[in-house]
Amino acid sequence: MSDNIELLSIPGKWDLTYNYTAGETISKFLIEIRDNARIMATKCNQCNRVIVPPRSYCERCFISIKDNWVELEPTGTLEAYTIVTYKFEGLPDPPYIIGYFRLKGADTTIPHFLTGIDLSDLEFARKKIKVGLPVRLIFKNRGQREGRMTDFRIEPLQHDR
Amino acid sequence: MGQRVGIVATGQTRYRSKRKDCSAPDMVYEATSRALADAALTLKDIDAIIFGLAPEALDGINSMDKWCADAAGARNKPFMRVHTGGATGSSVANAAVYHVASGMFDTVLAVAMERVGETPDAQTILNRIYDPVVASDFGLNIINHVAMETSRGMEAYGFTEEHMAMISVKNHLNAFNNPYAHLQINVSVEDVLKSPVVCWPLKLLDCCPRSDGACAVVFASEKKAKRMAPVPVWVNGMAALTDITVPGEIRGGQEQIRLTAARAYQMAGIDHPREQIQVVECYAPFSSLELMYYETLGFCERKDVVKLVESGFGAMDGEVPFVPSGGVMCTNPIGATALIRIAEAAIQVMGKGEKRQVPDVTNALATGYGGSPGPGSASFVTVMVLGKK
Repeated sequence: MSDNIELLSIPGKWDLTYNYTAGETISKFLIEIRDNARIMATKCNQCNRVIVPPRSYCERCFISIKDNWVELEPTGTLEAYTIVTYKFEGLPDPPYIIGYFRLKGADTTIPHFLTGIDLSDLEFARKKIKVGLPVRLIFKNRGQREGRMTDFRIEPLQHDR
Repeated sequence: MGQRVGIVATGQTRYRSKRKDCSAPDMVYEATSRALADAALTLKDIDAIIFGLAPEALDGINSMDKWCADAAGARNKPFMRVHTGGATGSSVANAAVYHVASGMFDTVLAVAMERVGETPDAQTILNRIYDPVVASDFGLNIINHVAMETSRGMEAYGFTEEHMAMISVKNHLNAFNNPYAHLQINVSVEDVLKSPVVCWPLKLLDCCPRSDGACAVVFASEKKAKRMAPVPVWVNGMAALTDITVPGEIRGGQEQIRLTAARAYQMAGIDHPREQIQVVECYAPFSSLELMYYETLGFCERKDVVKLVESGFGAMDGEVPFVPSGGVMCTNPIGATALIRIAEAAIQVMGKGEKRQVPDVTNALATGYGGSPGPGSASFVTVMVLGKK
């Protein structure tokens, strides 16, 4: 390789638009959130697992479970968490807490932000978060719900303010 | 396993945050031609090519396998692309082994590449591996996913940020011995602990870099391997496992690794890994993942992980060196990374490791991990046991 050659590059950009199809099972799940402020899961009657976000099939028993719905309470526990302090391009402005939450009666977990924790002092905030922390779901008002996971927020069950 | 399969040659590019001197095919050519030269082979010796490349948005070019096929030596030969996220490289190797083991091909080239340096933030792209309807609103990406596994791991294993820092220091030190390594920087425990928090508990120096580079490995049938290489490296055990476990479910990623290793060990006749394996090239882009491998790969029980970290178990002069190459923490061209683990493990068995050579290696272990547990994303785990006999 010659040492002094000027090495070029040209700019590029991917700017694509999509409409992501939810399908029948997830549509029903999101419509229940939007219209009735409730979380519906599917249940496999063979292995008894309750799956949320719901799937139309049980991947372990390999049977359809698309018509077997159960309602879950809007409470649960924090199962995994991180405090994000870095600004990723195109992702939310830090700081924020992401967690995986197990709703009461569910065998799976859902991702969401953990809100209701003061993040002005991260050291202090960290001490208040632990795997197993009880949480509750708080739905937006009826007119504000649009059939998305962001129609509700998740915060600690008990507030100590 | 059908026909016995051996590794006869490896080739790697120098890894950098940006290889401005190379086009993508140039990098594939560099790794491929070095692998051929390693065993004095020519393209005539190669019957088929398996090519690896991870999500295309990282490179910003669709189906780059088509652009790179000729640089991999595929003219007039069977060629296919394999993609399993971070495990792409080891899946490429597995596919090459399947090709040879089947008896249909005698010599197969596995080559994988990635340019992670083309785009300013790979995590923006990796956010889009999750279910777009139920998961993408929450800023998920690989770093915060691993951070979540880590915060769970800290509670389950009892390790601290200091223990993670000790792993990072060890790997950065090892990278100085590897002429191909991307990051070659001096790092102290204090440096790691004081580096900016990215996603707690992960700090910048607990995390891998984004690298450009390519790696190639030549697999051959027993008869050919013995002729082609002075020290052929035998694929004595291999296993691959897929799961859709979501963080917080009963079976986490650690359990998947344990299961995959058990299957590969059974095939290779390994029942006491700590006594039988002399070096490990595990797929650990983050410090916390490496120390959990001590348990999941069967080197100790969970309660002893912290003790092993503190005693320098995985250091170059430790009982079983982990990632003498500096590992994924110092070099991560995503689609090629898991193939580098296999190349580096093979180099150890061949005795070609020079400054990073571990003495008296008869068995070496290489792992791969791709995807990410989470909605809409599966995990792919691979384990390969390589031996001198």
